[in-house]
Order: sequence, then structure tokens, then C-alpha cells
Amino acid sequence: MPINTLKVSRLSKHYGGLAALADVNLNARTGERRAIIGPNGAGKTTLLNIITGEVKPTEGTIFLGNRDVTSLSVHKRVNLGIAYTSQKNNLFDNLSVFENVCIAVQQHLGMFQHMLGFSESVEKVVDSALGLLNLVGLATEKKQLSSTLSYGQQRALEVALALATKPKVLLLDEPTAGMSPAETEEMVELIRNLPRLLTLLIVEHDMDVVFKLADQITVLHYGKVVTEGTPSEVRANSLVQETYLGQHKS
Amino acid sequence: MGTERTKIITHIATARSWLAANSRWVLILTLILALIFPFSVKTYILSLGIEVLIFAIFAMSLDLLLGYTGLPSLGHAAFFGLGAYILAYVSSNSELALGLTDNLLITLPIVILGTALSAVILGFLALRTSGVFFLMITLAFAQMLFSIAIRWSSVTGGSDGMTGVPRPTLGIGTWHLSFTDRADFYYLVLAFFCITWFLLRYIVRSPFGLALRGIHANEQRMRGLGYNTFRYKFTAFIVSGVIAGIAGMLLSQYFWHAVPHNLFWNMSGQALIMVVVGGPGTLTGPVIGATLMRLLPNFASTYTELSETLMGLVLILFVLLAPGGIFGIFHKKR
Ligand SMILES: Nc1ncnc2c1ncn2[C@@H]1O[C@H](COP(=O)(O)OP(=O)(O)OP(=O)(O)O)[C@@H](O)[C@H]1O
Ligand SMILES: [Mg+2]
Repeated sequence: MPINTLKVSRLSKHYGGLAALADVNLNARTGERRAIIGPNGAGKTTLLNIITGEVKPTEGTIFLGNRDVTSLSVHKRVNLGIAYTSQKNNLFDNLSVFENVCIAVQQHLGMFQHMLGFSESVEKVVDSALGLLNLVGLATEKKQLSSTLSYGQQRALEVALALATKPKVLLLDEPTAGMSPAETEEMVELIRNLPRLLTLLIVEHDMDVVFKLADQITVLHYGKVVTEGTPSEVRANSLVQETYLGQHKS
Repeated sequence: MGTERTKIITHIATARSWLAANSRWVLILTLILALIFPFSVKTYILSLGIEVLIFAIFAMSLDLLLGYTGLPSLGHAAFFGLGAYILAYVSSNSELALGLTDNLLITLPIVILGTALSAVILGFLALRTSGVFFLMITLAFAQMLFSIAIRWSSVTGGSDGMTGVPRPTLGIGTWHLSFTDRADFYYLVLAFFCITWFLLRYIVRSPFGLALRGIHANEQRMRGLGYNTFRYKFTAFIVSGVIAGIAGMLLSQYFWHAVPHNLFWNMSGQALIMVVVGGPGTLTGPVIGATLMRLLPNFASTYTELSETLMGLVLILFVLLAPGGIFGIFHKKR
């Protein structure tokens, strides 16, 4: 099985009496772009946090390729190819935009290279950092502190950081939240143009974005998968129409 | 009031841009002044200069932890004192000590190894925690060493400490340098200071230093980018501990003894104030802080209780009003 596949099996997460996730199964093939939708509190963020290792599951297993990563720490999972952007911006506030990206790009070199700082590898870091900033449209802001960026720009920077780790599976938690329509458009374009082999899990409330990007959709409701399938299958589902598309169409 | 304020702000802004434009010349001038310093001052002032440089090395080592990595150690005196005691144990001619040699080529590696080893042990324990727990464990470690130094007098010399520490020499074969003379010792300390300054500057500007600043800003995100943050903090902790140990070594050589006070929490506290008042995360700031902290008591009255209270107040004021320290006020932000 190629390593870009992600399999989540019988996942549960309890917070006291509350079941944030209950027996969730999910299978994402290589290169699949899967959207996860559901009302507030459905457990979408919890699911992504468990996949990244930020939150420990009460029960269940996570496979990257055929490797069980359930007990691995966050940084080990990242080095195996899982990257994410969280729902709330989570950057290095008192560093410049450029430094933010450099931190992410240089990581793979390892600590001893970081200390000895061979100039050719440092040059490569600078090059790919600038490349990423161009990609997400922040090249002119590179000297600013990341905290001075607009909310939407910070979202874009988050994506640049995640891409810098060269992931095989990318998890995006509401990448377009708080963005202007123009920024959303750009973000959708950017995500659409990502390498086709990259497996994508994207949590999103904006149904336009979902239908533009996803080839599979999982619908979560009170911690359970209520339905999944292609966009047209999910669109046809009556429960989804009631809770989601009904409001959206209006 | 309003116009006064704007005046001060413009003055500071002018000073900032002047410093930024002439930083190289300021550096060269400082170095020249430091080199001719022993010829132009009384012994008493020269002594102060030596003390200031030693404490500046100590403060810079703490800055790597506190200012760059965001690790507020309350027990940095542990390494300072260990450096002093290890050196004393190896080279002092008192009957408690080994009295092996005063040759730096042998004593320095032993001090480095000894402090590195203790930093490995303390780092391994303390770096698994954070925040208040980190403060408490580092403080407890230093206080434990302090009470060992006091109680275990058959080895450490008790509250009198270990006396008879010689000034160092440097020699291979027939080639031999002695730093017994005060002015000679000053140059040795100055050399250690410069090496420390350039080494730490190299470290904090390297990709490793960027990673440390990343950990300071947002450790959880660093893990989320694949960093094993423990390894970075651990390495910084050891480097910092070793440099503090070297400062302690120099202090015991300078004062001819190692005393328990070198390990006391008050010493850690002083280093903390030097960093915070001078400007954390700037290296130069803690040097300024060390200068002020060592000089002020000589000008202030002998009411030490009062001056310690004042120091406490100054610290609180800086934390609240000028978190960038003195250096931060005059240093132009990128
Ligand atoms: N640390 C926590 N402690 C207790 N309850 C939690 C915790 N984290 C999440 N929850 C609860 O788990 C449920 C799922 O939360 P989650 O953040 O995963 O939802 P979500 O689908 O991402 O919602 P949204 O669309 O608002 O982002 C919610 O009821 C939430 O209150
Ligand atoms: Mg959420």
C-alpha cells in the first residue's frame, strides 16, 4: 500500500460523558481529496487533531500506508508525512513571515546541520522558502512580523508552513475561514493545484469550496459518520439536504 | 507633558538609527577600549572590570535559555558554582583538593565535561516539564547543590568553601603563560568573553538559533512541523550550562576560592535580573545588565538589604514597562 493512504479505524474520543467521536472509520486513498463536513461541534477538529497526534484517542487506530502511527508523537508523524493547519491561526508571532517559512522548510535538515549551517543547504532553504511565499502570495510581506498580517494572509501562511514539510497527507481545518471572497478564490486555486499524489483531508463549512475541491465527502454529525460518498451522492442524501444544503441554498 | 514625551521619543529614535548605522564602529571602539583598559585605570577599577566580564559571560549563557529558547531557569547558579568547585577541586592546593594542575589545557576540559554532565542530568529531568515546574526543578537542583556544599564539609570545605585556588596557566612543553598578575588575568577573561560572545552570536543566528526562537514563540507548532523540540532545548541547556560553568571557573580563579554562595539562589536571581533588565534575547543586553548590576552596588550605599529591594523593584518595572530591556529601548527593530 502506498504511504499516502490514510486509514482511520474505529476511532472514538470521549471527553467525560461526551462522545466527541464515536466509532469513526475513514479511508483516504492516495491522491484523494476528501472533505469533512458537519455542523459545529460535530467532531471534525477532534478527528484531525487525533490524526496529527495532538490529541490522544480513547480508542481506535490510525494507519499511514500500512504503518500504525497511533502511538507515535506529533513530530514523528510529521516526519512520516502528515501535515496540518489548525482551525485557529497558530504561527510564530514575533518572527517575520520569512522566518516562519524558513523554520518549516529547514526542519528536514536535522539538528546537526542546523548547528553547523552549511551554506549550500541554507541557500536551498532560502530558495524554497521564497518559492513557497510566492506560491501563497506573500512574497512582498516577507519582512513583516507574521502577527501584522491580515487574518486571511495568516491562513495562507499556515498553508505555506504545512506544505514546507513536504507532506504526503495534508489536513486542512477550515483553510478559508475568515477570508475575503477574493482570498478564498485564491486559496481554492492553490489547493486545487497541489500535486495530485498528495492526499488531502479538508474540513470546510463553505459548501462552494467543498464542491469545488472534494472528490469524496464525509459527513460527521455528533461524532458519527452519517454518510459518505462522492459529492453528488452526498448532495442527494436527505439528512444532508436538511441540515446543510437547505441553509446554504437559501 | 505631551511635547516632552514626543521629544524623548524622537531622541531615542535618533539614538536607535545612529546605533544601527554605526554598530560595527561601536563594536571596534568597545574592543579597543577593552584592550587598553588595564593601562588606564586603577587596580580597583580593573577588578570591577574583571568581575563585570565574568558576570557578563554568565548572563549571556542564561540569555541563550531565557531570551532565545524561553526557558526561565531559576537555578543557573548550579552550573556557575559547579564550574567554580570543579576547578577548585582539580587545581587548589588546599588539603581537601587534588591540586593536580593549574594548566587551563587540562582544567578547562575537565570543567567543561563536569558541567556538561550535570547539565545532561538536570536537563533530562527539568526539560520534561515547563513553566512553573521548570522553575521549581532548576531552583531545587541548585539549592540541593548549595546545601551539599555547606553540609559535606569534608569534601567541599563547608561554608568557607574551597580556598587556595591558583590563577591559571597555559602551557604545552616548554611554552608557558601565566595569568597570575591581575592585568594578565583580565586579558584571559576578556578572551573568554569575546569567544563566548562570538560563539553565542553564531549559534543564535544559525538555523539552530532560529529553531530555538521558534520553540520560544510556539513550541507546540514546532512539534507540528516535525521538530523534536526536546533535543533542541536539551542541546541549548547543555551549551548554556557549560558556558556558565566556565564563568564560575574564572570567578574562583579570580577570587582564589570557590564558595557556596556561587551556588545560591541569589546568584541565579542576579543573572536573571541582568538578562531581563539588559534585554533578553539580544546577548548584548545581558552584558549591559551585568555591567549595571555589578557596578551599581559600588556607587549605591552599603545598605544591601535596601539595594536588593530596589533591584527587585527595577526588575518588576522592566518586566511590566520595557520587556525588551535597556537594549530593547535603544535597539532599532528590523
Ligand atoms: N478539550 C476538550 N474538552 C472537552 N470537550 C471538548 C474538547 N475539545 C472538543 N470538545 C468537544 O467535542 C465536540 C467536538 O468538537 P470539535 O472541535 O471537534 O468540533 P468541530 O466539528 O470542529 O466544530 P466547529 O465546526 O465548531 O469547528 C464539541 O462538543 C466540543 O465541545
Ligand atoms: Mg473545528
